[in-house]
Amino acid sequence: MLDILEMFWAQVSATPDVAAIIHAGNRMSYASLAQLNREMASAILSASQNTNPKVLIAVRQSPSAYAAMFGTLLTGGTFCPINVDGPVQRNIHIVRSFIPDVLLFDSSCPKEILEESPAVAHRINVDEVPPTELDSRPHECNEMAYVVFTSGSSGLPKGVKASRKAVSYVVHSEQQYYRVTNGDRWSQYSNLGYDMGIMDVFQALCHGATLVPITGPLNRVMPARAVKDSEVTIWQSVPSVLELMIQGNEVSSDLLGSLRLMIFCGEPLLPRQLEVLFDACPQLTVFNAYGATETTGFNTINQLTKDNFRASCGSSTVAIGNDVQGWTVELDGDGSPEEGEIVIVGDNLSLGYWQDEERTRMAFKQRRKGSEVTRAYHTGDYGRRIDGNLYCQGRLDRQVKIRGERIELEEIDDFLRQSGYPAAYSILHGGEVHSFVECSSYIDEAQVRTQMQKELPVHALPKLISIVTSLPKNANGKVDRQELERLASGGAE
Amino acid sequence: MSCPDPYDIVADALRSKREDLNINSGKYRTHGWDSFGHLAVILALERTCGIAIDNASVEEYATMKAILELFEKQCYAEA
Repeated sequence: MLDILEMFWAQVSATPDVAAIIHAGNRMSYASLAQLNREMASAILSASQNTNPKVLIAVRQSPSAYAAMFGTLLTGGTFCPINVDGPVQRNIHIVRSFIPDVLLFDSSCPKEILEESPAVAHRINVDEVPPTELDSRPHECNEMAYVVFTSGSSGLPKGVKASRKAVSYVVHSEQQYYRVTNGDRWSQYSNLGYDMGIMDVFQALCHGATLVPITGPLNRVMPARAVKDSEVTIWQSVPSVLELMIQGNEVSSDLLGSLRLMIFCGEPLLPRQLEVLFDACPQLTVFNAYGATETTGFNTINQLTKDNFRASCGSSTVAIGNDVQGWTVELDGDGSPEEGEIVIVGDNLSLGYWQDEERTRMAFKQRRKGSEVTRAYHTGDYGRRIDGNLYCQGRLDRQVKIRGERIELEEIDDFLRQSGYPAAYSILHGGEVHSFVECSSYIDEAQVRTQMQKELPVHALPKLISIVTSLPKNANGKVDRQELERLASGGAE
Repeated sequence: MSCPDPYDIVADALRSKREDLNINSGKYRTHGWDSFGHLAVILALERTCGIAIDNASVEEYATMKAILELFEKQCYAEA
């Protein structure tokens, strides 16, 4: 199996003049992108003496951002992309935790990140990288390709390490489903701070497609227009973006007619959304996939067409399909093989959590069978087979997904306790966060919310913060979630 | 013609309460005002104020302050 860089170079060598990226009306060929990758690598190596530099990428979706990713891998290093539009304090935590050797930034990088970085990093403006050639000596590659930070239950985001071998495997194995070619145009909607955004880049550019970053204020809220304008053929996002198109009355053959594939992952896809989609675009093939950041890529996938999708709608969500080659999906329940926690077994799981051995040991279990050792990741998702189809039916713990963004409710509670509330407990009610707090003295909620905006993603901001005399407890002394659900529905304390 | 209350329009678009909004409210700052909320706000402004939906308007009307200024301009012009 080829490494991701080898896959990319194969495309450069086979079709140097094909467009690798079309962005803001400009076209960049594979040969030009390869040159930019080398210049980026050269700049990183000039700045850092480390053999395998750690590179923080604070650049919005653009050719420079993609070259920063490839350039880091060329040096043998590890990159960590951040969401430049994310909460400032959260990004500062990532900088402090990752401790980059080099910070690659552009004009979208918040000043707080630049102010945070001088002590720990060499800073390079990606728009001012000099056109120098990369020296030809080989660079030994780190086994880690990148680190992405997700919501953590300790109140701070946690880094998930993706191995270069696993990323190569995922890019290679998913091609059997998508069959990407030179004629394809692959959308790049997801922020690069998320693994789906990173995979857009490798999936497209390692298979010869043209990558189309979906940027600009209008395209971000009305993305179907960008599909039409750029003649996108493959779309990948969380289902919430499909919902955004539905709400904007954008799901039509006029706007989405160029698409041949839509790939959804990261949250439940709904039967209603598929009805709307296939009604407007019967030519489409839709993949509903399941995977976690900790499993690098997709572990199950369901290929849906207008003719077969109803057979996968036996629940309130769409079935997540069958095991992708190289992965085994098990349901760990109380006796029944038909339901339980979804456990992913395979050789290409994440290397673990960034600088957190204990959490890594707890989440990734080793299994021995004779001399063979495999690893299993317990996802915390609850799965159930109905009529032979596997459905993901929510979480077993307090992690929730709101519009595709992973949020640990414990992180919100932790913030509220740090703000002075003696006790706090948040629930997801009607798709929104509702926090309950105990409060014995005056606390300025407006001030708490202002600070919260700086530290938590917008989806984690509670719709309501309700003061209760004391959090209701069940017979085991644990917070009574059912009682909080009742209170959230308007019941009296 | 009386000028509609911009707070009511934005609260209605975001499905939130009027009292949850203030002059500092804005996209990615206020509960519900994410990309979905912003789309709803822009569509509501198109309906009530006739703004054109383009890059400039989507970027400009991302804060309560900018929306208040838009209403002030429109009402002042009508008066």
